[in-house]
Amino acid sequence: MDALFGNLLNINYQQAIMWAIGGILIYLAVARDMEPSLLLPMGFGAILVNLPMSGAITQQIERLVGGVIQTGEEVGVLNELYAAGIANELFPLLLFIGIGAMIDFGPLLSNPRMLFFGAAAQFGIFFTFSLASLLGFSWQDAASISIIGAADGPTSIFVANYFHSNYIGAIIVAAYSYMALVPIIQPPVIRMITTKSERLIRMNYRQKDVGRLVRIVFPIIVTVVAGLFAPRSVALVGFLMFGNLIRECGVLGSLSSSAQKELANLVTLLLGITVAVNMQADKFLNPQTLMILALGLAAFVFDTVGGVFFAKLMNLFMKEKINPMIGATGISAFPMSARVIAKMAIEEDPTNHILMHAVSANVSGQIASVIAGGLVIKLVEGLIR
Amino acid sequence: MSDNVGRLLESFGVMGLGMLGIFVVMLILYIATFAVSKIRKGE
Repeated sequence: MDALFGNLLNINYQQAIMWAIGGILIYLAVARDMEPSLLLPMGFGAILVNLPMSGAITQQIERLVGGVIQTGEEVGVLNELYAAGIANELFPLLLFIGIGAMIDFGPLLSNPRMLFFGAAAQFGIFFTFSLASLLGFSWQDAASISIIGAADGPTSIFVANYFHSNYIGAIIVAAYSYMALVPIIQPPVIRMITTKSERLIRMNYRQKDVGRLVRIVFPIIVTVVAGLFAPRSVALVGFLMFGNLIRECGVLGSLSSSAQKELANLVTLLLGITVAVNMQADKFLNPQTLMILALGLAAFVFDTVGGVFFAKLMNLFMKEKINPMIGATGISAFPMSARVIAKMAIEEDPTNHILMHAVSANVSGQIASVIAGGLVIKLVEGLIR
Repeated sequence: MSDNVGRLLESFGVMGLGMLGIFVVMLILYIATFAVSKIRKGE
Protein backbone atom coordinates (compact mmCIF):
# COMPACT_ATOMS: atom_id res chain seq x y z
CA MET A 1 0.00 0.00 0.00
CA ASP A 2 2.88 2.31 0.87
CA ALA A 3 4.43 1.72 -2.55
CA LEU A 4 1.14 2.75 -4.17
CA PHE A 5 0.01 5.66 -2.00
CA GLY A 6 3.23 6.67 -0.23
CA ASN A 7 3.99 9.56 -2.56
CA LEU A 8 0.65 11.20 -1.72
CA LEU A 9 2.08 11.94 1.71
CA ASN A 10 4.88 13.93 0.05
CA ILE A 11 2.45 16.59 -1.24
CA ASN A 12 2.89 19.91 0.52
CA TYR A 13 0.75 23.04 0.38
CA GLN A 14 3.35 25.00 -1.61
CA GLN A 15 3.15 22.47 -4.43
CA ALA A 16 -0.63 22.70 -4.36
CA ILE A 17 -0.37 26.49 -4.71
CA MET A 18 1.88 26.02 -7.74
CA TRP A 19 -0.66 23.65 -9.28
CA ALA A 20 -3.22 26.43 -8.88
CA ILE A 21 -0.84 28.96 -10.47
CA GLY A 22 -0.23 26.52 -13.33
CA GLY A 23 -3.99 26.16 -13.73
CA ILE A 24 -4.42 29.94 -13.83
CA LEU A 25 -1.77 30.27 -16.54
CA ILE A 26 -3.50 27.55 -18.59
CA TYR A 27 -6.86 29.30 -18.08
CA LEU A 28 -5.43 32.64 -19.22
CA ALA A 29 -3.95 30.96 -22.28
CA VAL A 30 -7.01 28.97 -23.32
CA ALA A 31 -10.01 31.01 -22.15
CA ARG A 32 -8.54 34.50 -22.53
CA ASP A 33 -6.17 33.82 -25.44
CA MET A 34 -3.30 35.53 -23.60
CA GLU A 35 0.05 34.55 -25.14
CA PRO A 36 -1.14 30.92 -25.30
CA SER A 37 2.05 29.67 -26.96
CA LEU A 38 4.00 30.47 -23.81
CA LEU A 39 1.55 30.57 -20.94
CA LEU A 40 0.05 27.15 -21.64
CA PRO A 41 3.38 25.25 -21.68
CA MET A 42 4.54 27.23 -18.65
CA GLY A 43 1.33 26.47 -16.79
CA PHE A 44 1.50 22.78 -17.59
CA GLY A 45 5.21 22.72 -16.78
CA ALA A 46 4.49 24.32 -13.40
CA ILE A 47 2.22 21.39 -12.60
CA LEU A 48 4.77 18.84 -13.89
CA VAL A 49 7.65 20.11 -11.76
CA ASN A 50 5.56 20.47 -8.60
CA LEU A 51 4.34 16.91 -8.39
CA PRO A 52 6.17 15.26 -5.47
CA MET A 53 9.28 13.31 -6.55
CA SER A 54 8.49 14.35 -10.12
CA GLY A 55 10.47 12.35 -12.65
CA ALA A 56 10.43 15.37 -14.98
CA ILE A 57 13.11 17.09 -12.89
CA THR A 58 16.34 15.96 -11.28
CA GLN A 59 15.78 14.04 -8.06
CA GLN A 60 17.89 12.35 -5.43
CA ILE A 61 16.44 8.88 -5.33
CA GLU A 62 17.22 5.62 -3.58
CA ARG A 63 18.06 2.69 -5.76
CA LEU A 64 18.77 -0.93 -4.97
CA VAL A 65 22.17 -1.70 -6.45
CA GLY A 66 23.61 -5.16 -5.85
CA GLY A 67 21.43 -5.66 -2.81
CA VAL A 68 22.51 -2.32 -1.30
CA ILE A 69 20.33 0.79 -1.17
CA GLN A 70 22.23 3.70 -2.71
CA THR A 71 21.19 7.32 -3.06
CA GLY A 72 21.84 8.64 -6.52
CA GLU A 73 20.85 11.46 -8.78
CA GLU A 74 18.31 10.86 -11.53
CA VAL A 75 18.50 13.66 -14.06
CA GLY A 76 15.10 14.87 -15.19
CA VAL A 77 14.29 15.56 -18.85
CA LEU A 78 13.33 19.16 -18.14
CA ASN A 79 16.71 19.77 -16.52
CA GLU A 80 18.37 18.26 -19.59
CA LEU A 81 16.35 20.56 -21.85
CA TYR A 82 17.18 23.50 -19.59
CA ALA A 83 20.90 22.80 -19.82
CA ALA A 84 20.63 22.27 -23.58
CA GLY A 85 18.58 25.32 -24.42
CA ILE A 86 18.11 27.88 -21.66
CA ALA A 87 21.32 27.78 -19.60
CA ASN A 88 23.33 28.32 -22.79
CA GLU A 89 20.74 30.84 -24.14
CA LEU A 90 20.23 28.75 -27.28
CA PHE A 91 16.40 28.63 -27.31
CA PRO A 92 15.82 32.39 -27.01
CA LEU A 93 18.38 33.05 -29.74
CA LEU A 94 16.88 30.50 -32.13
CA LEU A 95 13.45 31.98 -31.44
CA PHE A 96 14.82 35.38 -32.37
CA ILE A 97 15.69 34.12 -35.86
CA GLY A 98 12.03 33.28 -36.31
CA ILE A 99 10.87 36.59 -34.87
CA GLY A 100 13.28 38.51 -37.10
CA ALA A 101 11.90 36.69 -40.13
CA MET A 102 8.38 37.73 -39.14
CA ILE A 103 9.10 41.46 -38.76
CA ASP A 104 8.51 43.91 -41.62
CA PHE A 105 10.68 46.98 -41.05
CA GLY A 106 9.06 48.75 -44.03
CA PRO A 107 6.81 51.13 -42.01
CA LEU A 108 9.79 52.05 -39.82
CA LEU A 109 12.13 52.57 -42.77
CA SER A 110 9.60 54.85 -44.48
CA ASN A 111 9.43 56.93 -41.29
CA PRO A 112 12.81 56.50 -39.58
CA ARG A 113 12.22 59.20 -36.94
CA MET A 114 10.10 56.55 -35.19
CA LEU A 115 13.40 54.93 -34.16
CA PHE A 116 13.59 57.45 -31.32
CA PHE A 117 10.25 56.44 -29.86
CA GLY A 118 11.54 52.91 -29.53
CA ALA A 119 14.45 54.31 -27.56
CA ALA A 120 12.30 56.49 -25.29
CA ALA A 121 9.96 53.65 -24.42
CA GLN A 122 12.79 51.66 -22.82
CA PHE A 123 12.86 54.17 -19.94
CA GLY A 124 10.91 51.76 -17.75
CA ILE A 125 13.79 49.27 -17.84
CA PHE A 126 16.27 51.67 -16.30
CA PHE A 127 13.79 53.24 -13.91
CA THR A 128 12.90 49.79 -12.61
CA PHE A 129 16.60 48.96 -12.28
CA SER A 130 16.96 51.87 -9.85
CA LEU A 131 13.79 50.88 -8.01
CA ALA A 132 14.81 47.24 -7.69
CA SER A 133 18.27 48.08 -6.41
CA LEU A 134 16.71 50.47 -3.88
CA LEU A 135 14.48 47.62 -2.67
CA GLY A 136 17.54 45.56 -1.83
CA PHE A 137 18.00 43.35 -4.88
CA SER A 138 21.58 42.76 -5.98
CA TRP A 139 22.79 44.51 -9.14
CA GLN A 140 22.47 41.27 -11.09
CA ASP A 141 18.94 40.56 -9.89
CA ALA A 142 17.89 44.20 -10.34
CA ALA A 143 19.12 44.07 -13.95
CA SER A 144 17.34 40.77 -14.56
CA ILE A 145 14.10 42.13 -13.08
CA SER A 146 14.31 45.46 -14.91
CA ILE A 147 14.58 43.74 -18.29
CA ILE A 148 10.95 42.68 -17.90
CA GLY A 149 10.40 46.20 -19.23
CA ALA A 150 11.93 45.14 -22.52
CA ALA A 151 8.52 43.49 -23.10
CA ASP A 152 10.36 40.79 -24.98
CA GLY A 153 10.56 37.19 -23.82
CA PRO A 154 13.86 36.10 -25.38
CA THR A 155 15.65 39.25 -24.17
CA SER A 156 14.30 38.74 -20.65
CA ILE A 157 15.43 35.11 -20.61
CA PHE A 158 18.82 36.03 -22.08
CA VAL A 159 19.63 38.74 -19.54
CA ALA A 160 18.22 36.88 -16.52
CA ASN A 161 20.18 33.78 -17.49
CA TYR A 162 23.36 35.81 -18.15
CA PHE A 163 23.26 37.11 -14.59
CA HIS A 164 22.29 33.67 -13.20
CA SER A 165 19.31 35.28 -11.51
CA ASN A 166 17.61 33.21 -8.83
CA TYR A 167 14.30 34.71 -9.88
CA ILE A 168 14.29 33.70 -13.54
CA GLY A 169 10.99 31.82 -13.16
CA ALA A 170 9.14 34.81 -11.75
CA ILE A 171 10.81 37.12 -14.27
CA ILE A 172 9.69 35.06 -17.25
CA VAL A 173 6.14 34.63 -15.93
CA ALA A 174 5.96 38.38 -15.35
CA ALA A 175 7.41 39.27 -18.77
CA TYR A 176 5.03 37.10 -20.77
CA SER A 177 1.99 37.84 -18.61
CA TYR A 178 2.42 41.60 -18.83
CA MET A 179 3.04 41.41 -22.59
CA ALA A 180 -0.38 39.81 -22.86
CA LEU A 181 -1.85 42.42 -20.50
CA VAL A 182 -0.71 45.44 -22.57
CA PRO A 183 -4.34 46.20 -23.60
CA ILE A 184 -5.14 46.57 -19.89
CA ILE A 185 -1.97 48.28 -18.69
CA GLN A 186 -1.33 50.95 -21.32
CA PRO A 187 -4.70 52.68 -21.91
CA PRO A 188 -5.31 53.93 -18.33
CA VAL A 189 -1.70 55.13 -18.06
CA ILE A 190 -1.98 57.00 -21.37
CA ARG A 191 -5.29 58.63 -20.39
CA MET A 192 -3.74 59.76 -17.12
CA ILE A 193 -0.80 61.56 -18.74
CA THR A 194 -2.38 62.98 -21.89
CA THR A 195 -5.19 65.44 -22.54
CA LYS A 196 -8.11 64.76 -24.85
CA SER A 197 -6.85 67.34 -27.35
CA GLU A 198 -3.46 65.59 -27.43
CA ARG A 199 -5.11 62.23 -28.08
CA LEU A 200 -7.06 63.81 -30.95
CA ILE A 201 -3.94 64.94 -32.83
CA ARG A 202 -4.19 63.67 -36.37
CA MET A 203 -1.22 62.20 -38.15
CA ASN A 204 -1.13 61.81 -41.90
CA TYR A 205 0.51 58.73 -43.28
CA ARG A 206 2.33 59.15 -46.55
CA GLN A 207 3.17 55.83 -48.12
CA LYS A 208 6.86 55.88 -49.10
CA ASP A 209 8.47 53.27 -51.22
CA VAL A 210 11.25 51.57 -49.30
CA GLY A 211 13.91 50.22 -51.65
CA ARG A 212 15.15 46.65 -51.54
CA LEU A 213 18.71 47.84 -50.88
CA VAL A 214 17.59 49.69 -47.74
CA ARG A 215 15.66 46.64 -46.53
CA ILE A 216 18.71 44.41 -47.02
CA VAL A 217 21.32 46.80 -45.63
CA PHE A 218 19.28 47.82 -42.55
CA PRO A 219 19.62 44.56 -40.57
CA ILE A 220 23.35 44.50 -41.28
CA ILE A 221 23.80 48.09 -40.12
CA VAL A 222 21.74 47.45 -36.96
CA THR A 223 23.88 44.44 -36.08
CA VAL A 224 27.17 46.27 -36.59
CA VAL A 225 26.16 49.45 -34.76
CA ALA A 226 24.47 47.68 -31.85
CA GLY A 227 27.36 45.25 -31.61
CA LEU A 228 29.93 48.03 -31.39
CA PHE A 229 28.08 49.82 -28.59
CA ALA A 230 26.71 46.82 -26.72
CA PRO A 231 28.88 43.83 -27.58
CA ARG A 232 26.99 41.50 -25.27
CA SER A 233 23.89 42.11 -27.38
CA VAL A 234 25.51 40.84 -30.59
CA ALA A 235 23.99 37.38 -30.21
CA LEU A 236 20.49 38.77 -29.57
CA VAL A 237 20.60 41.54 -32.16
CA GLY A 238 22.53 39.41 -34.62
CA PHE A 239 20.09 36.52 -34.59
CA LEU A 240 17.09 38.86 -34.82
CA MET A 241 18.62 40.69 -37.77
CA PHE A 242 19.77 37.43 -39.38
CA GLY A 243 16.16 36.30 -39.40
CA ASN A 244 15.14 39.61 -40.94
CA LEU A 245 17.89 39.40 -43.57
CA ILE A 246 16.69 35.94 -44.59
CA ARG A 247 13.25 37.48 -45.09
CA GLU A 248 14.34 40.59 -46.98
CA CYS A 249 17.07 39.17 -49.23
CA GLY A 250 14.40 37.74 -51.54
CA VAL A 251 16.36 34.59 -52.41
CA LEU A 252 15.72 32.46 -49.33
CA GLY A 253 11.95 32.14 -49.37
CA SER A 254 11.82 28.60 -48.01
CA LEU A 255 14.32 29.36 -45.23
CA SER A 256 12.34 32.44 -44.28
CA SER A 257 9.13 30.46 -44.22
CA SER A 258 10.71 27.70 -42.11
CA ALA A 259 12.15 30.26 -39.68
CA GLN A 260 8.78 31.96 -39.26
CA LYS A 261 6.82 28.75 -38.82
CA GLU A 262 8.63 25.52 -38.04
CA LEU A 263 11.63 26.95 -36.19
CA ALA A 264 9.63 29.48 -34.19
CA ASN A 265 6.95 26.94 -33.29
CA LEU A 266 9.39 24.18 -32.32
CA VAL A 267 11.48 26.41 -30.12
CA THR A 268 8.41 28.02 -28.54
CA LEU A 269 7.08 24.53 -27.78
CA LEU A 270 10.22 23.57 -25.88
CA LEU A 271 10.93 26.98 -24.35
CA GLY A 272 7.72 27.34 -22.38
CA ILE A 273 7.78 23.92 -20.77
CA THR A 274 11.51 24.07 -20.05
CA VAL A 275 11.30 27.44 -18.32
CA ALA A 276 8.98 25.77 -15.80
CA VAL A 277 12.07 24.18 -14.20
CA ASN A 278 12.36 27.49 -12.32
CA MET A 279 8.76 27.31 -11.15
CA GLN A 280 9.38 24.75 -8.44
CA ALA A 281 7.57 25.82 -5.30
CA ASP A 282 10.68 26.31 -3.18
CA LYS A 283 12.18 28.67 -5.81
CA PHE A 284 9.01 30.48 -6.89
CA LEU A 285 6.92 31.00 -3.75
CA ASN A 286 8.65 33.69 -1.78
CA PRO A 287 7.97 37.39 -1.03
CA GLN A 288 10.48 38.38 -3.72
CA THR A 289 8.20 36.91 -6.40
CA LEU A 290 5.43 39.37 -5.46
CA MET A 291 7.94 42.21 -5.50
CA ILE A 292 9.15 41.10 -8.94
CA LEU A 293 5.58 41.05 -10.27
CA ALA A 294 5.08 44.58 -8.93
CA LEU A 295 8.40 45.79 -10.35
CA GLY A 296 7.58 44.23 -13.72
CA LEU A 297 4.33 46.17 -13.79
CA ALA A 298 6.23 49.35 -12.91
CA ALA A 299 8.60 48.68 -15.81
CA PHE A 300 5.72 48.47 -18.28
CA VAL A 301 4.03 51.56 -16.84
CA PHE A 302 7.17 53.68 -17.01
CA ASP A 303 8.00 52.41 -20.51
CA THR A 304 4.63 53.89 -21.52
CA VAL A 305 5.29 57.09 -19.58
CA GLY A 306 8.75 57.48 -21.13
CA GLY A 307 7.46 57.06 -24.68
CA VAL A 308 4.50 59.42 -24.25
CA PHE A 309 6.54 62.17 -22.61
CA PHE A 310 9.17 61.92 -25.32
CA ALA A 311 6.45 62.47 -27.92
CA LYS A 312 5.25 65.52 -26.00
CA LEU A 313 8.83 66.81 -25.91
CA MET A 314 9.17 66.31 -29.68
CA ASN A 315 5.94 68.27 -30.18
CA LEU A 316 7.56 71.36 -28.64
CA PHE A 317 9.93 71.51 -31.61
CA MET A 318 7.90 70.12 -34.49
CA LYS A 319 5.48 71.84 -36.81
CA GLU A 320 3.69 68.61 -37.71
CA LYS A 321 2.59 67.38 -34.29
CA ILE A 322 2.82 63.78 -33.18
CA ASN A 323 -0.03 62.11 -31.37
CA PRO A 324 1.65 61.38 -27.99
CA MET A 325 -0.04 57.97 -27.82
CA ILE A 326 2.41 56.90 -30.53
CA GLY A 327 5.18 57.21 -27.96
CA ALA A 328 3.60 54.40 -25.96
CA THR A 329 3.94 52.02 -28.90
CA GLY A 330 7.72 52.19 -28.62
CA ILE A 331 7.34 49.35 -26.14
CA SER A 332 8.44 46.10 -27.69
CA ALA A 333 5.12 44.25 -27.27
CA PHE A 334 4.59 43.82 -31.01
CA PRO A 335 1.97 44.01 -32.51
CA MET A 336 -0.27 44.22 -29.46
CA SER A 337 0.73 47.75 -28.43
CA ALA A 338 0.30 49.18 -31.95
CA ARG A 339 -3.20 47.73 -32.19
CA VAL A 340 -4.16 48.99 -28.72
CA ILE A 341 -3.07 52.57 -29.45
CA ALA A 342 -4.63 52.57 -32.94
CA LYS A 343 -7.90 51.45 -31.33
CA MET A 344 -7.65 54.19 -28.68
CA ALA A 345 -7.17 56.80 -31.41
CA ILE A 346 -10.25 55.58 -33.28
CA GLU A 347 -12.29 55.61 -30.06
CA GLU A 348 -11.36 59.29 -29.62
CA ASP A 349 -11.97 60.12 -33.29
CA PRO A 350 -13.25 57.43 -35.69
CA THR A 351 -11.50 59.12 -38.61
CA ASN A 352 -8.05 59.24 -37.01
CA HIS A 353 -6.11 56.24 -38.28
CA ILE A 354 -2.62 56.09 -36.80
CA LEU A 355 -1.97 52.36 -37.11
CA MET A 356 0.98 52.61 -39.53
CA HIS A 357 2.74 55.17 -37.32
CA ALA A 358 2.05 52.96 -34.32
CA VAL A 359 3.47 49.92 -36.09
CA SER A 360 6.62 51.89 -37.04
CA ALA A 361 7.28 52.85 -33.43
CA ASN A 362 6.36 49.37 -32.19
CA VAL A 363 8.86 47.72 -34.53
CA SER A 364 11.49 50.25 -33.46
CA GLY A 365 10.84 49.15 -29.90
CA GLN A 366 11.79 45.61 -30.86
CA ILE A 367 15.24 46.83 -31.90
CA ALA A 368 15.60 49.19 -28.96
CA SER A 369 14.66 46.55 -26.38
CA VAL A 370 17.38 44.20 -27.58
CA ILE A 371 19.95 47.00 -27.54
CA ALA A 372 18.75 47.93 -24.06
CA GLY A 373 19.34 44.35 -22.96
CA GLY A 374 22.92 44.49 -24.21
CA LEU A 375 23.52 47.88 -22.57
CA VAL A 376 22.09 46.68 -19.25
CA ILE A 377 24.50 43.75 -19.29
CA LYS A 378 27.46 45.96 -20.19
CA LEU A 379 26.69 48.70 -17.65
CA VAL A 380 25.84 46.39 -14.78
CA GLU A 381 28.99 44.33 -15.41
CA GLY A 382 30.87 47.60 -15.01
CA LEU A 383 29.11 48.23 -11.68
CA ILE A 384 29.90 44.75 -10.38
CA ARG A 385 33.58 45.12 -11.23
CA MET B 1 21.94 55.42 4.79
CA SER B 2 24.92 56.69 2.83
CA ASP B 3 25.26 53.22 1.30
CA ASN B 4 21.69 53.46 0.01
CA VAL B 5 22.27 56.95 -1.37
CA GLY B 6 25.47 55.83 -3.07
CA ARG B 7 23.68 52.81 -4.52
CA LEU B 8 20.84 54.99 -5.77
CA LEU B 9 23.26 57.39 -7.43
CA GLU B 10 25.08 54.50 -9.11
CA SER B 11 21.77 53.15 -10.40
CA PHE B 12 20.86 56.63 -11.72
CA GLY B 13 24.21 56.60 -13.49
CA VAL B 14 23.24 53.32 -15.19
CA MET B 15 19.87 54.86 -16.07
CA GLY B 16 21.44 57.93 -17.63
CA LEU B 17 24.12 56.06 -19.54
CA GLY B 18 21.67 53.40 -20.68
CA MET B 19 19.15 55.87 -22.10
CA LEU B 20 21.95 57.91 -23.66
CA GLY B 21 23.39 54.76 -25.21
CA ILE B 22 20.09 53.71 -26.77
CA PHE B 23 19.46 57.18 -28.19
CA VAL B 24 22.98 57.36 -29.63
CA VAL B 25 22.55 53.97 -31.32
CA MET B 26 19.15 54.99 -32.70
CA LEU B 27 20.60 58.27 -33.96
CA ILE B 28 23.34 56.42 -35.83
CA LEU B 29 20.74 54.05 -37.29
CA TYR B 30 18.59 57.02 -38.31
CA ILE B 31 21.50 58.68 -40.10
CA ALA B 32 22.58 55.43 -41.73
CA THR B 33 19.05 54.63 -42.95
CA PHE B 34 18.67 58.15 -44.31
CA ALA B 35 22.05 57.93 -46.05
CA VAL B 36 21.34 54.56 -47.68
CA SER B 37 17.94 55.72 -48.94
CA LYS B 38 19.56 58.85 -50.44
CA ILE B 39 22.30 56.78 -52.12
CA ARG B 40 19.63 54.58 -53.64
CA LYS B 41 17.67 57.58 -54.93
CA GLY B 42 20.86 59.06 -56.41
CA GLU B 43 21.55 55.94 -58.53
